[in-house]
Amino acid sequence: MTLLLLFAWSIPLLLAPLVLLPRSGRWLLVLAPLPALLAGLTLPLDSVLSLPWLLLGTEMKLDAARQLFLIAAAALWSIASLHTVMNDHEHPHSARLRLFMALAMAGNIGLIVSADMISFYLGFSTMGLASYGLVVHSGSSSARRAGRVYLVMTLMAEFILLVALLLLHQRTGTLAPSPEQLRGGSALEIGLLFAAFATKAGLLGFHVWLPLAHPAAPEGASAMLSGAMIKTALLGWITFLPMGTEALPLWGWLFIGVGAAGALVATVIGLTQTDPKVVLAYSSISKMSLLSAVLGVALIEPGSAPELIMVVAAYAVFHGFNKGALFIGVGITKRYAEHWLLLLLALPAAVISGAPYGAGAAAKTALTELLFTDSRAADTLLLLLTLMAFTTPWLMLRFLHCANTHRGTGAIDAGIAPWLVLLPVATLVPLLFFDELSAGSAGWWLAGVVSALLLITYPLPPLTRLVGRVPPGDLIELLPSVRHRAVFTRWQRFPDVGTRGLNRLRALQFGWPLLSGDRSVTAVLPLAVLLLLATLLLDIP
Amino acid sequence: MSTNAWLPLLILWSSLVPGLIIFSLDESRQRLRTALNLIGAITKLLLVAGLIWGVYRELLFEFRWTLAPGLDFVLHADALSVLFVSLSTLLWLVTTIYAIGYLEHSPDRSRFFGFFSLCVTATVGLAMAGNLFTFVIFYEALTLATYPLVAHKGTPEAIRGARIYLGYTLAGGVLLLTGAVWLRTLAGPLDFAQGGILGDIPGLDPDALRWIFLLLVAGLGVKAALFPLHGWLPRAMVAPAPVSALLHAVAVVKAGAFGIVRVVYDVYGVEFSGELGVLMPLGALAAFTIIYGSVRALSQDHLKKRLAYSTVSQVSYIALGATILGPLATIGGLVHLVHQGVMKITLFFAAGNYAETLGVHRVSEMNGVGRRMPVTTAAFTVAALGMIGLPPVAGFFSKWYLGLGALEAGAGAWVIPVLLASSALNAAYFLPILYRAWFLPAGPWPLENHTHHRGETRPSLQWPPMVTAALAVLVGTFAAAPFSPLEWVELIATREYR
Repeated sequence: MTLLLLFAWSIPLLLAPLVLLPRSGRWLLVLAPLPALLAGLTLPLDSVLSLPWLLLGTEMKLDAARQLFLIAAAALWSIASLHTVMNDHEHPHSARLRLFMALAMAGNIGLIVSADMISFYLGFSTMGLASYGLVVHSGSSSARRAGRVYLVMTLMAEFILLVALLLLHQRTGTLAPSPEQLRGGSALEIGLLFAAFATKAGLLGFHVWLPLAHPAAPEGASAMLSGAMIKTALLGWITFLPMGTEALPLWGWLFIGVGAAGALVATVIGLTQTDPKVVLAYSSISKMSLLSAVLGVALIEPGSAPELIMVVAAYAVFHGFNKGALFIGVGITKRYAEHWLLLLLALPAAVISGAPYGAGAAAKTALTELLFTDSRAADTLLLLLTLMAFTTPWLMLRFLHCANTHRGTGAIDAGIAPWLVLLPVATLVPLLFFDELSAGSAGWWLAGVVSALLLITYPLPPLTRLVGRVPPGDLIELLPSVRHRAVFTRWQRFPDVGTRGLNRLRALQFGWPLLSGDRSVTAVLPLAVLLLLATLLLDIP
Repeated sequence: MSTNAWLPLLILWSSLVPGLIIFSLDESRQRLRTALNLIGAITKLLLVAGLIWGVYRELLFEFRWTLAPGLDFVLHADALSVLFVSLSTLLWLVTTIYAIGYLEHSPDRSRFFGFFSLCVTATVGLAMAGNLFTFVIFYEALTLATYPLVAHKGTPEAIRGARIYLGYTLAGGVLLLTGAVWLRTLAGPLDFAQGGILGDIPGLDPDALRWIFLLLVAGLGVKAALFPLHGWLPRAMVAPAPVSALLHAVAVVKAGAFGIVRVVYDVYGVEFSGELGVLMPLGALAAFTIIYGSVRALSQDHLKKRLAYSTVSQVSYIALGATILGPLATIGGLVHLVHQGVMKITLFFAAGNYAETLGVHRVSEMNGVGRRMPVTTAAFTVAALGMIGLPPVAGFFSKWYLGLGALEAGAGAWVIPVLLASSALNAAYFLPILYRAWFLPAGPWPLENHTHHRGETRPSLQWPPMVTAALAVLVGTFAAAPFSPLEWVELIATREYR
């Protein structure tokens, strides 16, 4: 039976070439995640599968956190695949999209069940590279640019992770280190692990690819990118950091600091956006930052780590389902004319915003209960949670407001069915993962909703003027070599003197000999990697 | 002579004899020529299978012929020679099939296949050479057998490329010969031995040994395309695609890298080389070559030239692995001998298919080529991803072991950045090609040369890259399975360090 763990990811991989077939092949994409779903639902906890002949010796396992991630990812993949297959008739490159979805699926599921470094890395890099095909799928210039930024950052994350794993293997002498063996990592090792997964998670400073890439992909793929793939960063930290066996206060505070800052900054930037998918992307950054901050607490207080990890996993699952429903929902409201669709779209938005007795509220309560430990780290998190209970409704209402402006004209057809299935799954199933229903911080939530509704009805000019000021991807626009020349002006609010100096600087950078267009971007990658390593490798003996 | 002496000889003859017969064949005897080629290649493959089994069980395979007192011609099979012999033999078979398809209807095929066979004979010979003298003989023979292949097209450009090749390699041969003779006078006749021999001989002048090392490595570095001796390789890309495949993956470049490995491990001994202080400069040069080749590859629009600079970079991994002390780095470097071969031959097969089928020679002409030739481009993609170092393709495992070896030897601080920069640069020059091939709309092809076949190109051109790409994935996916290249290399490393 444990062989199911192997089939869970190898079947999507083997089906990948077959989904290219236009007629029968397309439905195979929907079948591909089923072995993983079966594995998640039927295998007993802590199942282990060792395949010493595969790669350098493969270990797969299904512990409690992995089981949650696996069930959620597989279920979401099934529905997103169904949505993609049922809605891609017109698109000329639909076969290519299916191929990349199957590959990304194999990578995503593979890394969830992997317990050893090599197969984890295999899953991580397969997922990362295949997603490039999802991001650039539409072929528009913005999608291509998003793809480029995404690819550069993803490869950097993969290379950084490779070094981290090399260090870890060299230190522990095993490919699947136990939690005890993970203790005593060097600052370099932990720092690299932080940076690699921070890029995938979209933590502040590492997030610039995310608001570009997630909206660029077709909606089924965006749902997976935001709903399942970025969540694997959490699993990466859980697997390779000494969670629960060693107290790392400094690193814990780094997680909390970067996480808390990201959670708030992303919310603020998200509020200034006009594209509903970009608002959702910033919302994902905000939630991933929050969960990273929770892992920070687990790093500071090893005793509470196991419970915190389980809540983080459950939180990730509830958020993944609902974020997936929202991303697909954006496509639905853009296509169909019906007004009640917006009400349906409001359901997952309400759950994410923490509406009383929804999964969001239950998750927040479960988290809050674990954080009453009277430590400064936990108190910081409680403060952050309270703040977010107030701000998340703003972001979700901003999202609904933006989604409302892009209405479609089509009549309802069968293509909506997968989404209609996803809605109850997303809103109800995650409740199973929490012990009790709860009102959450109903007061804060209500205050957030009411104030946001008031602002929508009576816009305040100083605030509305900020809308559209920050381009998606914010910081990336300041980077000269990756920037679109046209978009740059959107950030330009400098006085004349400064602009002149900046223009001169830009002239310098665009004057790269032999390197133009595509290549100037690709040249940034090795340079950045070198620079990073030059600073990080200083303490290798 | 016992059977164990016959086997190395038979392996040598299995390509020498068909080669000599092919020379005498009339141009029109195509079937017979093909049959001879394939019989030779398959026979060799079977013989090598026997050799692998024998060496695994530590049987002694040696043919010794004394030319003069103290001057022996020795063929000897140890684990390291088996690694190179089996790589060459397997890829030779695939390349022969490819060449038969590639050169269909072109002139001078008897000459071509004759030298082709000689070239592999020389490669297998130098792989099994038991001492420096024998090695030098085959090394020179390889130079001479390859020259007509590079010049095969007979165009002024081809002849110029071949002359440059000959100039470089003959000069390298002279250096190698000088080094070998000097060492012979200093230390007497020496057979290669695992763990090295010079460290055990007392009273040798370390300075002389350092100079000899320099001479030997300079001579071998020409073929291994170490900077600044690499100039011939990008120019030799005028040769037909199967010859490029042979140069880059099977024979010439590999012979140089293999020679460096032999000198470091089996003449000097890696620990003794370390004591002499010759490893660090060689390692630094290899590291520089890795970066240099990749940087040069970035700006090449000619596909084969880009691949050639990529070889300059990738082959230096092998030398780099040899200069880092410790079994893990040894594994990483040696296994790359096989991994790089399998991946690079795939890339050259694909490049040849583009040129032969669509007239596409330049990266800028490759827009949408994936739609027109999906199978070839899929193979190209697999190999390119492997070059970047992504699992499960073979290249990842070379990098993994090189990285581990560097950490083990305390050299991580400079080797790992080199590996990463190389990976990043590989991504920078391969991924844009893949993007063009798969995502951009197909343009008009320069010279569509494909009208009467059902597949995307001739079957004899389509199958070889598929097979080698599959091989590149298989040796990675089953890296820990018995008789995988990685397992074999671990065997070599344990024998080297025991």
